[in-house]
Amino acid sequence: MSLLATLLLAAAAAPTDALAKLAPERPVAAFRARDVDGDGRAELLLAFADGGVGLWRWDAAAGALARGGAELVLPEPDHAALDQADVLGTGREQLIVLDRRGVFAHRLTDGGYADPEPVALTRTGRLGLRLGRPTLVPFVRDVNADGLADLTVPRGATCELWMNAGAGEADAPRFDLLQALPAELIQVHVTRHTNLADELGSDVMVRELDIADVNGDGRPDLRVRSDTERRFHLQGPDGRFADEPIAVDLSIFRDTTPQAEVRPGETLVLSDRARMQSGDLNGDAIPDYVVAHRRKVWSFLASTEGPQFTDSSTRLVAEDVSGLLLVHLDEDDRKDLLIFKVDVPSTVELVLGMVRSISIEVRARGYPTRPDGTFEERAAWRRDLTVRVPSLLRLLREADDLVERFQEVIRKFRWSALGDFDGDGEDDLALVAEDETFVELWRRPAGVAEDRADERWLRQLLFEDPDTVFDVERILKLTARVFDRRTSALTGERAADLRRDLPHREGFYVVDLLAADFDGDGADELVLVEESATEPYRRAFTILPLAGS
Amino acid sequence: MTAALGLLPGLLPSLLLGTGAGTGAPPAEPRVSFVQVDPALGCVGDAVLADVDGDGGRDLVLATGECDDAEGPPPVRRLRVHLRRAGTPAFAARPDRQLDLVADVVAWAVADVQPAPGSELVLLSASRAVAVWWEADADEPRYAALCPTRLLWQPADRDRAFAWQAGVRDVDGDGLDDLLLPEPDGYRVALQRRGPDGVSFESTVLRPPPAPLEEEERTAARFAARGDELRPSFVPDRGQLRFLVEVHDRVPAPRLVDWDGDGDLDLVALSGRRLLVWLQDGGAFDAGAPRVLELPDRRARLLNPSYSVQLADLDGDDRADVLLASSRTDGDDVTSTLEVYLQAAGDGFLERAADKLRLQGFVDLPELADVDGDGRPDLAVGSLRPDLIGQLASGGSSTVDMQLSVFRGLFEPGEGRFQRPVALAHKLRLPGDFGGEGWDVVYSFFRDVDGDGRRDLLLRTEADRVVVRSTDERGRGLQVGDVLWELAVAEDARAALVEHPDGPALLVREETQIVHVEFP
Repeated sequence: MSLLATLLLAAAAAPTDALAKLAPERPVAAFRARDVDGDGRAELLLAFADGGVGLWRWDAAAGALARGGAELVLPEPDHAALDQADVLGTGREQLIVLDRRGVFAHRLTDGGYADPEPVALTRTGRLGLRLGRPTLVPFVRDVNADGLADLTVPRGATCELWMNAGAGEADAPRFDLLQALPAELIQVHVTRHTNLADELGSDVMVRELDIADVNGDGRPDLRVRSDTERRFHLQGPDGRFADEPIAVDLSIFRDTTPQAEVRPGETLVLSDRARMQSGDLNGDAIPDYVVAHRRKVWSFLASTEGPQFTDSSTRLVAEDVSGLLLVHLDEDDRKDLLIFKVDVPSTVELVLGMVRSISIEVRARGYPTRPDGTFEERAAWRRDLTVRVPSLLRLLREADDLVERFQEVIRKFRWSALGDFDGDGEDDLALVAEDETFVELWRRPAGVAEDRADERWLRQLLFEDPDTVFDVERILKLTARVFDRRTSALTGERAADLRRDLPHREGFYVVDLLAADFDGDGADELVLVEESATEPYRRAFTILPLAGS
Repeated sequence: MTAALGLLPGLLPSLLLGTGAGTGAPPAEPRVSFVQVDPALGCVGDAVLADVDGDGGRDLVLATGECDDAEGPPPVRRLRVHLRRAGTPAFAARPDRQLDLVADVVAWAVADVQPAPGSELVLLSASRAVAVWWEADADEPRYAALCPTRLLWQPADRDRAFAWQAGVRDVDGDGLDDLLLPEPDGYRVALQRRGPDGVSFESTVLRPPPAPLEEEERTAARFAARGDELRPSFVPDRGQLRFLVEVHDRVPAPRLVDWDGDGDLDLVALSGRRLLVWLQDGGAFDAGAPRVLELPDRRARLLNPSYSVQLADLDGDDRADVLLASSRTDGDDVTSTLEVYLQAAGDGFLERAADKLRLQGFVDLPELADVDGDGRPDLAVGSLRPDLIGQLASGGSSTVDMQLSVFRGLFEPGEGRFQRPVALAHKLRLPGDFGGEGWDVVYSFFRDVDGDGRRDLLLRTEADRVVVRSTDERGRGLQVGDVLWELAVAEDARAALVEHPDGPALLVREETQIVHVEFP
C-alpha cells in the first residue's frame, strides 16, 4: 500500500468522541490489540485475508492510527496460523507464523513485522490444515510453566508438542519435538447432494492441549486422551514432561450385567463404552477420577504421586446410566456424583411426534461423596423430570415466532470487555447494550460469579424447583435467566457508572469488543469491532476512550 | 429418502412373472452378484460402477474401511477393483486390483483421465487430484498428478474415504471426463485436455457471491450446529478448554445441467433464495460473477421438511426449469405446494409459476421421471398426512398410510402443467415405526423392467424386503401392478440406484457384503 493511501486510511474521519477509527477496504481476517513493543501503548494487529499483516499504533501528532513500517506479506495466507510472543527474549513480541514451511518468528522492524530475515524456530513442525485465511491461533504457550514459550503444532490427526529448550544457534531458541500427541479432533464431512437445497460442508475442530496440575505440586501436567486411552504425563522438576505416562485403558472397565440395548422405549445408554469424569472427591485439591460403565461406578483417588487406577471404590447404582457429572451438590469441598437416566420414546411415539408433543422422562439421582472419597450407597437427591418436545406441526406453525423469541434470548448475552478503562489499576467492565446503541461502564465490578453459584442453581433446578416439566417456554426462560445471571454476576447487580452512546455505521454490526491502551495514558480504550452485513470480513475499528467521563 | 436394502446371505432373489394387467413380455432374470469382504480387513463403504479395463463393461470399484462401532485401531482404507465377467455372478469375490489409500486421501472417484484403456482411480486430497492405474500385467500402479485443488473437505477421515463420483462429468462435451471439485470458496471446474504432451487440466474456479451475514452470526452468544452437536459459543470465550483450531466451510451443492439449451453443461447452485448460474460458452466458463435469479421465498427459518429445489427440462425446450416444493401449516393441517418455474426464452423465468400443485400433508423429495413412457417427465411424489399419523395414537392402527402420486407431465415449450386428476394414486402402508431401526422408506420409478415402455416401481416399505412392481395402464390412468421381483433384505443394509446410460443398477451394501443387481 502506498504511503499516501496509508496516511489517508489513518486519517479517516472519526466520530467526535472516538479517539480514532480505522476502516480498511480490504477484508480483515484476524485482529488483536496489545502492547507488543513494551512502550506502554497498544498496537492494533490486522491480518488481511490476502496475506498482508500490519501494526497500527496511535500517532498523537496526527491524531489517528497509523501503520508502522512496511506490511508483511505472508507467503501462505491460506495456511497461516499467527500468534504473538517474545520467543527470542528481546523484550518485544514477535509475530510467530506457522504454515506448511514450519514456524518462523518475525521481529518488529521499523514498527511493523516485515522482518527481512525471519528466524526459523522449526522447519519440521508444520501446519497440517488449511485455515482458509490468516488466523490467530493460540499455539505459542508456556506449556510447562518454565518461563519459556513452547509450540503446539496441529497437524490434523496429531498435535505436536515442541518444547523450548533455551538458547540454540544464532540467538534463536532451540525447539525439540517432545511428542506427537493424538489430537482431539472433531471432524464432519457433509456430502449429501440429492437436492439443490443441500449444502456441502466440512467442519474441523482441534482441541487445545489439556494442561492441568494432576498431582498438586503446582506444576502443570499434560493430560492426553485417545480413543479409550487416558494418559497423564507428569512434569518433573526439570520442566520436562515424563516420557512414560501414567496410563489407563477405559475398555478394561466392564460391568458384566447384560448390556442395555438402545431400543426405543428403554433407557438410552449413550454408548456402551466406559466414560471418565474427574473432580476432587476427598477435598485435597487434587483431581480424582470416576469411571462408569452401565450400572457400575469406580472411583479412584489421586495423590501427590498423581492419578492411580489400581485401588478403587466400586459402587453399583440402581439402573443403567445415560450420563454422569461430578458437581458440588452439597456445601462440602468434595464433588458429588450426579447420574441421569433417560427413557427414549418408542419409535411409534417418535413418529407421533409429528402431530403431538413427546414427553421424555429423565431421572436424576445425586450421590454425596464421603470424606474418604467414596460415594454414599443411596442417592440423597432424587427427582423425576419431564422434557416435553413440541410436535412438528406446532414447530412449523410457530416457527418464526420461536426463532424470534430464541434470538431475543440470545441477544441478552451482551458484548462485553474487561479492561482498566479509568486507569486506576483495577479492571472495569464495559457492556454493550442489546441494541448496540450504547455502552455502559461498571468501575471495579463485583467480579465473576463464585464457582459454586452455578452448581447451586443446577441443584435447585433439578431437585428443588416444584416444576418438573421442561418445555420450550421454560427452556427459553431458563436460557434467558442464565444470561441475566451472568450479567448480574459481572455487574454486581448495581447500576452502571457511566453510559456512552456508540457511533453506529449503517449496515455494520458489532462482532467483537476489545480493551487496550493506545495513547499510553494508563487507561484502556474500548475497541469496537464492527463487520459489514453484506461483505464478510469487511471490518471497522473504533477506538473509544471511556476514562474521565 | 434413500434406498436402504439388504440381502440375507445365501438367499437368492426370485423373479415373479407378472400377471393380470401386465402386457409386457416376461422379463429376463436380473443379474445378481455378491461380493464379500473379510471383516478383518474392514467393512464396505462407497461403491462405483465404471469401465476400468476398457472392455466396455461396468466394473465395480469398492471402498473398504472402518466398521461402525469398532474398537481398536482402524484397518487400512482400501479401494478394490472387481472387473466384470461374462455370466453370473458378474464379479468375483476376490478383487482383481486393490490399492491401499495413504493418509491424505479424502475422497475418490473413477474417471477416464489417462490415455490408457479404461478409467482410472482418481484420488482427492485437500490439495490435489491424482490418477492411479495399472498397466496390463503390472503389479505396481502408476500415478499422475492431475490438478491442484483446495478441496472443501479436510482433513481425511482416518476411518473411510468417500466417493465423489458426482464430480466426474464430461462438462464440455468433448468426450473426455472432466472434474468438478467443491472448494471452500466455490467450485473448481477442471476440463481435461489431451495433446501431444499428454493429459492436462484447465481449471476455472467459480465463486458464489458472499452471502449476507446472518443474524445468528452477529450476536455475542451463538448456537451452531457442528456435526451432530449443537454447540454454544460466546464472544469473548473465557471457557476452560477451547479449540486450538476451528475451520468451518460450507458451499451449496452444485449441479451440472444444460441451463440455456445450447447443448453444453452449465453450473447451477442455490444460495438461500438465489439461483446462481454460470454459463459455459465455447468450452470455457467465465470466472466472473454468475447470473443470479431469485426464487420465491418459501424457505422457513426453522423447519421446512418438504423444502426442495430441483432442475429439469420439463417443457422440452432443452433449457432447465425449476421445481420447488415447500409446505405450510394451517392449524393442524399441512399443505404442500409444488411450483414449476419455466425458463423464458432469453432471460430468467416466466413471470409466474407455470403450475402450482397442492397436496395434503408433507411431501418427500419429488422424483421427475418419464413414468408413462411418452417422452416427457412426469412427477412422482410421496405425501404423508398428519391426520393419518394421528391414527397411531388412537391405538386402532399400527400402520401409517402414505400416498404415492404420479402426475403426467403435459408441458410444451413455455407453457403447460402437470395433468389433473392424478394419473396414479397408490397407498403405501408403512409400519408405525417406519424410520426406526436404521432403515429408510424408498420408492422410485427407476426403469422399465418388464419391457412395456413404462417405468416400474422399486419399493421398500417394509424393513425386511424390497420389491419391484409393475406400472400398468388403468383406463386413462396408471396403477401399480403385480410384483415382478422381490428380495428379502436385512434391516441395516443400505442401497443406492447407480445411474448409467444403460439404466440404473442397484447396489446393496451390508456391513461386509455388497450385492450388485442389474436389470437387463
